[in-house]
Amino acid sequence: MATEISLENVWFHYYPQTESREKWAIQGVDLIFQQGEYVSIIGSNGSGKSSLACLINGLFIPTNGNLVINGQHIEDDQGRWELKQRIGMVFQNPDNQIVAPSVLDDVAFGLENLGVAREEMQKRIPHVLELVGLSGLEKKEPHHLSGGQKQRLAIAGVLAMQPDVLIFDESTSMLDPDGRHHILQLMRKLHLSGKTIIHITHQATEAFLADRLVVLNKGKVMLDQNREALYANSAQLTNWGLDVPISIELHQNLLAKGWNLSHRIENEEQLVSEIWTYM
Amino acid sequence: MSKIVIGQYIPGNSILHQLDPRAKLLFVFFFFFLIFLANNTATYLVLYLFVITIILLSQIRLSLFLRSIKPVLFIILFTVILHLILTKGGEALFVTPLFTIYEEGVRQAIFIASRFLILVVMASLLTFTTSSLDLTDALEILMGPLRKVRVPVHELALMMSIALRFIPTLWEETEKIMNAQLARGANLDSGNIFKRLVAYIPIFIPLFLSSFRRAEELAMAMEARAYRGGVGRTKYRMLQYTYKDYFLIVIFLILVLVIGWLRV
Ligand SMILES: Nc1ncnc2c1ncn2[C@@H]1O[C@H](COP(=O)(O)OP(=O)(O)OP(=O)(O)O)[C@@H](O)[C@H]1O
Ligand SMILES: [Mg+2]
Repeated sequence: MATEISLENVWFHYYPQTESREKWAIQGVDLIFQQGEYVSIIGSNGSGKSSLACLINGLFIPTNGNLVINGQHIEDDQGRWELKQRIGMVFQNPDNQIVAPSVLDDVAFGLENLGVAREEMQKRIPHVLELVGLSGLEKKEPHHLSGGQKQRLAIAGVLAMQPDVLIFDESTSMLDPDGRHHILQLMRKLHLSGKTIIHITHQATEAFLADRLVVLNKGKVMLDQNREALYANSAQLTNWGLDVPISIELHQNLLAKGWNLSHRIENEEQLVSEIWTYM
Repeated sequence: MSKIVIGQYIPGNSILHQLDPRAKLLFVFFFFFLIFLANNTATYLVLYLFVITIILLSQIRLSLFLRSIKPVLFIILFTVILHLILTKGGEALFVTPLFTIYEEGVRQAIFIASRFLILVVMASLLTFTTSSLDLTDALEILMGPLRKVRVPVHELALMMSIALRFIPTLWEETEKIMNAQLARGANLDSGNIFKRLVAYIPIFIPLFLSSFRRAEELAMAMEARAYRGGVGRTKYRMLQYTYKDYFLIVIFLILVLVIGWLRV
């Protein structure tokens, strides 16, 4: 299955009746996400990232404009409900998205909601627990898990529903470096398996792991570029209150000084080793 | 922390642990009526014998039962004293200017204490050998028919399960906030009751606020996982009766017959 998401001139207001122009959370966004893309959405606090995420999977209804999935307008409750299966969402706080008192039951929660047969659940659950690295913890109570493990449990719960698209709304921001690393690796793995990954973050370093970056500011799309293009002039990120990763800044400056480094740097370690060999 | 055990489930693999929670729940429910049929020494002895047998079968330490009796000890004592003083009949055993204790009073007091004791021990046996999650499931299924009269059975069960999930989390959070306030010099356990209540306000307010935020986020996460109420839902957890559970019916019938025959 493939899911192509298209937002057509989407506007969103939390309290549309009050109509104050300032308070539009999303203002005329046009975006298309193809199946299998790895996209980061970055923006400062209050830029509308979470609102956009909720619009994409039908948690919120656009005040104006359309959500179109594979050419079909999503208009009614049933349509939005079906979307929940195709587009999974992982939130920021690992604690507040685990429903059930045990790991196993929590993974089952989404499947129960979809009305999946029990035999099918028994096949899917061990598989996703394996995938996120929680095998053996089936009987554990969620409050005995680490933050990173809880977040992986949340991912397992979503993956069991077999979505085409996964949205991560700052899902790494409350984790320690180890937990964060785990989740980022998992995103990569899922991307390679063909899922669309939409990673919302205000960490530029994490955003640059994606192939495409969308910059959001005050509810508008400021920039929508592939990694290479933005990498080459990342300084502009500061316009919207975002940091430029130090490694990128350094890399760019060294290139400008005429250092003979490769133009694509994946991470800090690679940069360090390139500088090392150059010197 | 985590010393609070909700439902006080004691994991194990005894025959009582293996029974279906619905069967246990029903058994204990009907057993409570049976207790009220007992009315002489013979019938109470039968009940005691039965309870002692299943305590042994449960493989649960006796001290745990004693601990669960402790909170109701006061009520038991109170009713015992009441019966001792107020019940007349038989020989006068102990005469004081204020009251007289009769033979019948002693008998009634012992019976009533036994009744309480057996009730508490049976209820503890149920919660000791059944996880809260199993109990919730059992309740949801057994109450199922009430759906017809618009009791939101599924929602109640889900609420219970969410409560089970979040009580430890909220407890941890309470401790964190308490420590933070203590570190700032809050004084939580001195002064009169009013002063103490006031001292707890800075703990409850942040706790309430964060619980509301939690509830909101959880509701959103549930909706994102396609939750839309109980309609059309399947269940992962499944309960299954085995021959052991049917055997409970036999045991119960035997108890009814024996007690019915022995009582006066
Ligand atoms: N529940 C709400 N009710 C009213 N306004 C809201 C609500 N949630 C967000 N907003 C407003 O909508 C705008 C966009 O918020 P949103 O949460 O989408 O931003 P964000 O980019 O996710 O921010 P953050 O980095 O803090 O998560 C902000 O101006 C915010 O104040
Ligand atoms: Mg947000």
